[in-house]
Amino acid sequence: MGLKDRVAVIGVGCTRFGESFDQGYFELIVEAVDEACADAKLGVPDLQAAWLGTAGRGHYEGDAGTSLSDPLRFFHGPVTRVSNYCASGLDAFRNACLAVASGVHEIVLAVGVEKMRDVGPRESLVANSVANGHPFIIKGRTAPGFFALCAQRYLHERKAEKRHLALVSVKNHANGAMNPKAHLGQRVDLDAVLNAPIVAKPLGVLDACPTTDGAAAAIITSPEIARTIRDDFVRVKGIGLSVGSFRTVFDPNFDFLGFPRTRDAAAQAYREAGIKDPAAEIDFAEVHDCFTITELLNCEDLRFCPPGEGWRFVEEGHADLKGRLPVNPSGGLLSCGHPVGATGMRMIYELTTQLQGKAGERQVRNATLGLAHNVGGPGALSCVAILGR
Amino acid sequence: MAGICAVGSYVPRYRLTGKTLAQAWGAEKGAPSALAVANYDEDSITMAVEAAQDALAAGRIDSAAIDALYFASTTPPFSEKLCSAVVAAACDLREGVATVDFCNSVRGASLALQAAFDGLSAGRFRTVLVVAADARAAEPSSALERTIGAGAGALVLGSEQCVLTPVGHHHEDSSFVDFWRRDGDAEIRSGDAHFIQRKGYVDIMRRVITTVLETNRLTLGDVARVLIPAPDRASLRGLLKVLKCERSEGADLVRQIGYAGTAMAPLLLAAGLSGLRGGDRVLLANYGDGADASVLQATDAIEAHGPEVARRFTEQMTGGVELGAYGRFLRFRGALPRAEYRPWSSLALFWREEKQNIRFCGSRCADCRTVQFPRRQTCITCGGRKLCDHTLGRSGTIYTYTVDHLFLNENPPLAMACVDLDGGGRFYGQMTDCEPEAVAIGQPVRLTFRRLHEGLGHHNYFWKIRPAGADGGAWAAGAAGRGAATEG
Repeated sequence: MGLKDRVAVIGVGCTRFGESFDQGYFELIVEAVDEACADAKLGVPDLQAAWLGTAGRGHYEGDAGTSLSDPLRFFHGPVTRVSNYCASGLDAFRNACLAVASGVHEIVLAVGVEKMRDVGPRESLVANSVANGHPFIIKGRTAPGFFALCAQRYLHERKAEKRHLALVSVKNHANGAMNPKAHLGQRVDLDAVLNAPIVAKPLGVLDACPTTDGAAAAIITSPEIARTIRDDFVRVKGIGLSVGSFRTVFDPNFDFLGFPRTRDAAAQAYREAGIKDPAAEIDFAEVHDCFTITELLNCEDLRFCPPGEGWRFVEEGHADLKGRLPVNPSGGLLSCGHPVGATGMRMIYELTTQLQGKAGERQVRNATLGLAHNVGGPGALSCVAILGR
Repeated sequence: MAGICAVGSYVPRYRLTGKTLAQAWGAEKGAPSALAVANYDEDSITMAVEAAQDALAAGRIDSAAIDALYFASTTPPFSEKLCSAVVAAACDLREGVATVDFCNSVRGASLALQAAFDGLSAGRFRTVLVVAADARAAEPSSALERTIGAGAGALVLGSEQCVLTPVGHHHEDSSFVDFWRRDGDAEIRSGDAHFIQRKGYVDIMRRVITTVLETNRLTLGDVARVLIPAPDRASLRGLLKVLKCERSEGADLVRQIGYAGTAMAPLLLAAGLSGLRGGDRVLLANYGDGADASVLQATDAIEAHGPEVARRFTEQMTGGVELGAYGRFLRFRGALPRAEYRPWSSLALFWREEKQNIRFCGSRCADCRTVQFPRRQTCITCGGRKLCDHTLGRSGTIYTYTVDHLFLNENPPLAMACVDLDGGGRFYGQMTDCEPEAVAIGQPVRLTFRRLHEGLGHHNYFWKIRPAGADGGAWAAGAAGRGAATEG
């Protein structure tokens, strides 16, 4: 018995993603949750349990459920902190869904949040990789450095060129320019992407998502209760989570041309949702484009196109907003930014908004089935969620 | 009879040229043609590991045969802690091997050599590895700065397959003050050069050389190679003049890499073996807090070993890359302040993972034979639990790579590579001694033991990746052989 049609989203909220120098971790949470509550016409006291998705560590904020209960004064029910790298937000959502589906709770809250820009990008992510974890084994690894390994191998192995990576950036920035919640609001052209300073060869600054603050929230209940609250609620069709190794770079079986954990998570979600042919059945997707290469690999792993043809899928326009299977209509991580724990929940926000037909200029036509996807760590884990009307 | 069985060398990749020094300080007299410079992640321990591996490979000697390792340096990375023990682990010598440090004198290599001969003669050891490495620092813009180079040399001593056997030895210790570094000083100091040369170097060296020749009823004419380290070229010229010796083997070496302190005597030997025939004599002298001189006689085995050592040494010498900017040299030396970098480290982890991180031992699945690193409890391929030790090959091929501009590094940008190791297993790590733009998929590489960071206020060593030079093939052959031998 899976989750299919047993859980409903009745309210979503999202802060503007960006450099929130004037808002702290708690303020971001309160803003996102207030918006979600207003959307669901409920108050915090109506929520019976909560899940906090956050990946950061080393600060008192985010280390425990208190980081959610405290700013909301949510003292009346259980609060759990979920941490699963870049899938922390989606995994918080998944756990909240399980709680509702189990029947233990009726109305619950899932929040994803990360405060990254209180320090410079180098201190935020690189300093973390230096200061935490094993003293030797992966010293020198950065997020762009890992995905660049994939990109170099992909360009070597497939017929793709650096231009194909850049096309992802051009597309997603164009979508993001229509998203008032996105960190970067501007379009970029191919030359700008190709000529941007290199971060990790072959990835330049515009092949990479920015370092961003943000929070997003969703209120979840059963379809029976949802019906009493609003007509346009959204149903959960399936969720998969696959967790592997943080040391993929040492795995002699790993080809750097895609992420087995994504394939596994997607298989779980597709099975639960009863999807046989994702390329034909999924209407749009929010996928983890932390770097341009990642989106190409995701399109292949999620079976939107045959293996090795992600670059062609994008080049031929299938992933465009008006294409066969729009990918990242929100602007993706490349445009919205990637506050690690918040990203998955921002995707739930985008899916819900699109499925309710409220996405404005960036609205996907006939959006009835949407997919959200995160890949976290160095291809270490992945979460895939499918929502529909 | 105990003798020298193998000679190895290591000359670091970078060269500081007289031109760069002149650019930094304005044109000055006495600029060298080049000085060998330790990379930012190199020190006497890492260079010693390179030279030791080179000697073992040149002599085709199994590291398991070594009973003792003697390490000589005036720049030991640790003032309290045996550097020789770290070198022994990185060379994957037998556990429990005897290790001794000979520090505080640039004559350390010959002091260690004599101690090694004593240990062999007494029957305490069968095979001893002597390594000497130095990376001394002088005050910027000083005359000393224009003479000091970095490098390492290694000698394997034993009773079988010797290439050089001792004929005679003489030494004199002295409290003569010439060069010194007080506890806590970063740079060496010296005094009046002419005084030191005449009353120190030339007098003492002349005495020991003359004595060793006379007591063995030899003259310089009976010696095929005269190998004399000198702190600078003027000192050497002065000594050769009083010895009435017209040969100055090794003078070229000083001009090309500078005076490499403790490493100089073994490096001169590596440079001087080529062309020797069985029966030829070699005079090897050394200076520092006194002096010593040995006469060695080549066996027939020298005719195979000499050219092999010379080939390896020549590759290291010719593989040098000019360090264009003086600022990079200061950065390499650690002489400049830098952005904060606070890597986490752990003593318990050092201890628990020595086999993996220093000896470079991974796991191999008994069921599906997958070689894996880091060491695992459950096979990454088949999920089996029967994993055994596997000494990894120290060479391989780049599967994929990147050049990262974000990571903090003393010599940015930092190339990171994922390498398929010869003999199985995959390694991911930092690259060093490379031109980032020249890194490519499919490139042959080798692993090199380097200083990774200073977490815990301790030198944290680990393996890095460097392009396989022309010498990579031989190293690879040695490493692959070891990998196969320890498969269990």
